[in-house]
Amino acid sequence: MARNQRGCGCLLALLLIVAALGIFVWWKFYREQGPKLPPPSGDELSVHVLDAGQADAILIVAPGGKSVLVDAGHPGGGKKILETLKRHGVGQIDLLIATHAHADHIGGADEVIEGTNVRSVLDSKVPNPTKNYEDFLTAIEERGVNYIAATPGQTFDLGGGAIISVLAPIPPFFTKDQLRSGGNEPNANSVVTRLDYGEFSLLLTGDAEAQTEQRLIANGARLEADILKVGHHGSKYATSEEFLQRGQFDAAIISAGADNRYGHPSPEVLARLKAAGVKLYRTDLQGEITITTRGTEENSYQITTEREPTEDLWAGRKAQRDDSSRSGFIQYGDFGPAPKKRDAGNKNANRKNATGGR
Amino acid sequence: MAKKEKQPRSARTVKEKAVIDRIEDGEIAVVILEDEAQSQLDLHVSHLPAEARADGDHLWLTFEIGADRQTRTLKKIEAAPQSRAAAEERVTSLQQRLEKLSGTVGQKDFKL
Repeated sequence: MARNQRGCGCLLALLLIVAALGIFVWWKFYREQGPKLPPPSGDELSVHVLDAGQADAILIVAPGGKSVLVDAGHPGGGKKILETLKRHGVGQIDLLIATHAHADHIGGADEVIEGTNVRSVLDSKVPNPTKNYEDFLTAIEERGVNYIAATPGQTFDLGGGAIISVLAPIPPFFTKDQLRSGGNEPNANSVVTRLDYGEFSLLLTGDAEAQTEQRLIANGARLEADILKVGHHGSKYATSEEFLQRGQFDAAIISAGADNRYGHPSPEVLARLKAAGVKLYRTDLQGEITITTRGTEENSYQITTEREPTEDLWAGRKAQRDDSSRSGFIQYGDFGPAPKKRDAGNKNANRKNATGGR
Repeated sequence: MAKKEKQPRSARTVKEKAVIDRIEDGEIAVVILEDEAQSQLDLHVSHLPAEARADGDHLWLTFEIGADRQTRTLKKIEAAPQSRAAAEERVTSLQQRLEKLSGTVGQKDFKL
């Protein structure tokens, strides 16, 4: 009887060891390294970080021609994106990733959907009750675009060995009361993805800030990549030191507008990137930034810029005063004449930033 | 017949609908007008009504249009909570409809 009990105990211990080993193997080889990736075809993959002003728009053209657009600039910016697609010989968008529902990321999405064939849209599904987001969803419905809500673990096979994996938003979504003072839910629940092509990898973080980065780390997300598309245009609240240590990035790209008043990129983030030893690229100073790779060897990618910078890449911007600082007017300030009505047939021609014409 | 004298035009006020698209770094509210041009105003959050200082909050902006019709002065900002609630309902319903139509709920692997 006692021997039988001892035997049961040994069997139980053995089962526990086997289970622990299984969990370890799963953690080591799947959770940290992700799904098994196909070999690269060896053909060229290109990534174009567009100069979209104070907004994001990134075009990925996979070997074989499939294309992905990550964000679509600000309202009125769709025309420029459509022109860029044409310039790169892209006839349709196979996947449009809307990282979150802010106008500097989805502002031009309805124009893009109306102006070219978009097959699928990946959305964070965190609602922002703005006209801009409603226009975006309405365009998806009217054009019969496939709508996908982002979930970690989803993979998108671009062909030729290129894969996009979704890392966030991680449920349950961040709520307002969980965020730092001034933080917001669309940013915190941004769609975070990584692009893998053989030996090449790129991390795309939308406007995710430090709290999201922390959650990604805690969730064991694969963060190590060759290149980081820096979160939230270089805001001081994103790109934490720990995140940079985990990512081990060789290069970082910041998408920001030369005339932005929000202090992007911030001197604090630039200092953290410099300390991490990454090579820095900025759309506000260098225009469109292009990455090309065949994915066959480690570090075998090229980064080219539209123009040479005329200012120090490592010098950050300071936040400017808002529109209420305009002098000579009562209380809030003067905003110029009311915009004229657009022609029905020229819907997007007059979109502008009322603050831009000073 | 007496010649009609041209009367100078006076200033007038207009009310326009707007939405807080986002608050940048907790300080600057990016306010987008619901006009055809989707004009943008950047205002410090301290200028906004206490009950409307979050992403997606709807506002009514009262502008004074100058007699010269060339200047537009922002005179008043009011919260429009009912408008926000209605927009939230429309957006959520659109999302649900789109997800149902696409049939992708639960799908993990996609081939483009």
